[in-house]
Amino acid sequence: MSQSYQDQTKNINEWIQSAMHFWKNFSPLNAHGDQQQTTQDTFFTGSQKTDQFFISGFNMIQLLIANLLEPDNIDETLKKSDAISSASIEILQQFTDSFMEMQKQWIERFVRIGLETKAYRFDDIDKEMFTSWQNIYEKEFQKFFKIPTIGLLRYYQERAQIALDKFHLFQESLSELLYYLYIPFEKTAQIFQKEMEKQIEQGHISNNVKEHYNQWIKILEGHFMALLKSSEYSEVLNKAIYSYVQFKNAKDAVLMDLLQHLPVPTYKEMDELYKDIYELKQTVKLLKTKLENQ
Amino acid sequence: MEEQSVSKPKIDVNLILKTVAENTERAKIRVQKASEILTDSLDVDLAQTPYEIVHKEDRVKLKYYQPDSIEYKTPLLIVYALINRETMLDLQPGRSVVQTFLDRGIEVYMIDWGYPTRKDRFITINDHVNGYIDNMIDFIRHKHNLHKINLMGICMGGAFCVMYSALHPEKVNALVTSVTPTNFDTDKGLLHIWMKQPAMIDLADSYGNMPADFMNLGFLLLNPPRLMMDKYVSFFENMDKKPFVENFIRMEKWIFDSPDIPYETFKQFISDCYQKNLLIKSQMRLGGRRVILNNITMPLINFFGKFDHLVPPEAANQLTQHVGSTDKEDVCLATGHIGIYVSSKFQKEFAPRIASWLKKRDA
Repeated sequence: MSQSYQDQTKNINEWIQSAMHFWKNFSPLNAHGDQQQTTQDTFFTGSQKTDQFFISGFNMIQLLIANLLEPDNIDETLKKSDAISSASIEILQQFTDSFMEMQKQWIERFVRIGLETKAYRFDDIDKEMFTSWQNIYEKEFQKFFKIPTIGLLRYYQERAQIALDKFHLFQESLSELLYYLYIPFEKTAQIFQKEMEKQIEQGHISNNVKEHYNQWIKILEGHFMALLKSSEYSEVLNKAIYSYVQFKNAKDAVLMDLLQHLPVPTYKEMDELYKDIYELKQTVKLLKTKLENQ
Repeated sequence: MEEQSVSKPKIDVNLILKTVAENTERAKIRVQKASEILTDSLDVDLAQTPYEIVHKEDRVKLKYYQPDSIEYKTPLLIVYALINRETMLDLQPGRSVVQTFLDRGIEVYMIDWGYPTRKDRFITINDHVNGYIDNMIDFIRHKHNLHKINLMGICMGGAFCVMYSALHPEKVNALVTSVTPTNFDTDKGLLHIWMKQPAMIDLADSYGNMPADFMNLGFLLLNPPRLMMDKYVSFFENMDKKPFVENFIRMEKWIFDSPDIPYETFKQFISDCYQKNLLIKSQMRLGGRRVILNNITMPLINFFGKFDHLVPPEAANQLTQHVGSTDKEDVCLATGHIGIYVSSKFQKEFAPRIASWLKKRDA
């Protein structure tokens, strides 16, 4: 154990020394070479600060690892690494379970395609597929975007996390809307197929492709009219627009953070200016009318 | 039995294959001809009737169309909607409402709303009605030395004209409304259902104004099979006919030439009209004043389309019941929202009828 500990410590020290050497040479700001080490006790400027940052960082890592590998601490360290592995496995397990659940829903859905569709009716739409995905996202993934941020850049990080969260929510509601817009095609295909079967059985199927197309588009139009008037579609449309607006606003907030560092005005600043101009124009018009009436 | 079905198939497969081959050949010839047409010079310009810009305020312009011979004492101001462009009324020679008025001897003024940008987001309905429209009408009144002029409004522009006539009845000689929504408490048109959704206003707010592309997408979604598929199938079938191609492209140019709608105007129109239906109840307020429909006492003729899916008859036909005019008339035409202005049939029924109606009321 003692020999092993010594070997491990030696290996780690060598690795840290070589890493320190690599990063020090790699740094484009390092114009001082080894000379700076002689002046490090006083003060640091420019690339010296970078070098000092690396040296103290690696020293800390070296110290930490050496401490963890002390015979007294090694058991505890191994226990902790066990805990990390367990947590990783748990996260992986959660993810796998969620994925399996989603896949199950999809397979069930695929099996049902074409079996349960009713012509010109949209009250039987399988919403389970989307609510299931929504639940999975909200339970398993959304929490990661809501982890509190800390430090100097916390607001920037927070806005980026919100944008990612809103993007996922938008994707989810857009998928739902697109699915609704796809349903009339599914229903039309089934009815059209039956109609064709009937015509084939009766032996008077038309050889004019245009006739079939006209029949198909008429059925499709009927299905779309029924869908577009339904309250379910209005709700899904509203949800899609709302989530898009939420995502756009969140994305714009991130972009505005970036724009602040460029010499261009943001929408927010311009809107304030436009409002001032608008109000000034209103005041001028009012005063002009008053003057004309005097 | 089985033998019989084998020997006498119910479907003549050979015939089907022969038809498919013939259709393919026809399509090939059509595409060859279409290629020549599409690469040739096409007459697809809109709004070819000459006009002069006589007044301008911000981005809003006043167009003046002078007839060869002036037969009416009172000029006509046309106010188009903020959605799409007023070029619809002068689509092409032979299908031009403006040209028909000029042929009858009416001096025509038409407002060109221009293309609002983000800086216009704070402009309200009040700014449009009591600002731009009122200033344009004052300009025409002074130019012609008249107390009153004739006013004609299309769709949302019609609703603005109704509001204006209720607030300034002393400046309007006769009012013509066409496919003008005034009653929004109906679920006959899909727009009336969708515009009640609160997210629409959020969308406009997020973009600064209501983006025209979203409005156009909304219009296409009113009937996706016809407007996004069948229309282009029809184009493919007829693209070897030059007049068809020219008309089709002219309409495409018009449909997708859409300005954004200023946010505050859009918000108030959706909230006060589509969601609360205040206009027809005479409860709408502009610039602190109530818009009382009973104040509309001038002659009124109200056109709407029987098959209009944007402004269904139920949304347009109640106006005459709420105004104070005694000289009023509803005219329902068997067509849709755009057909009134562009179909060959209604070139003879719509504008000539307005010209005759105005002639009788030309003070």
